Amino acid sequence: VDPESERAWLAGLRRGEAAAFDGVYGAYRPRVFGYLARMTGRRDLAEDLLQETFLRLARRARDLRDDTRLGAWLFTVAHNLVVSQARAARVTSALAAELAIRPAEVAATPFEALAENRTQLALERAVAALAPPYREVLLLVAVEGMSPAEAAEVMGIRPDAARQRLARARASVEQSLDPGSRPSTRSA
Amino acid sequence: MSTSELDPLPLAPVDVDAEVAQRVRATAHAALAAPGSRGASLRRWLEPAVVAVVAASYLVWAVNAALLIYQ
Repeated sequence: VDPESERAWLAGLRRGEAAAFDGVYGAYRPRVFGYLARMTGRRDLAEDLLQETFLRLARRARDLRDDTRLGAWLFTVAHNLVVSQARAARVTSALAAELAIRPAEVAATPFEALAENRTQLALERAVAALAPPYREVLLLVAVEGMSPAEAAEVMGIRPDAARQRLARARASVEQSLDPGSRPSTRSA
Repeated sequence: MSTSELDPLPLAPVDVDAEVAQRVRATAHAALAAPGSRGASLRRWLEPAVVAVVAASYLVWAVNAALLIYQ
């Protein structure tokens, strides 16, 4: 997204203009959805969180500051929603265990069907197998093109911690694609 | 396969279908047009200001009353 468009959208959003919202929505919707989908592993849930992310943008549009970076703002909201959802899921899962209810089975990688070749499919599976903190930093940096410092800001961690997670995530993905040794960041 | 820290990961692009995209857009447009957002912004500043004024008035009155008693 070029800075000129970003500035124009920001000004328009602060005036409550629907056209400015549409510009932001068109540019960021696939990116935010891709992030949410791969973080939650569920298309239906990702759609709900996408709606909530852009609803928050619409509700707070007039309060945005002049120096707001829309991408970082949207991904921070999306990150917070993913964290809240994960907490709620843990409570639900604990409650289900207490009541001896089996939680609904979730497909491991619902986006595998979109993979265009075997490498992409293997990559999709390797990313899905990462523990969420590692998956998240990898998605923000290697898919969304953020710097490790920007990803750290979104995730609310220190930049050096983000770099460390990124290096481990990279190593784990490489190890999955080229099985050798040292599996380290797989989710339980 | 060897990658540097910032190399892009070639994952397939994903997006919502057109119907969902349109639903989210329409919901957000309605929220954008709602007068509530400006009101909420004003209220966020107005409420603490009113509380501060009331608290300061009470403090002034209390100090004044204490001074009158000890004079």
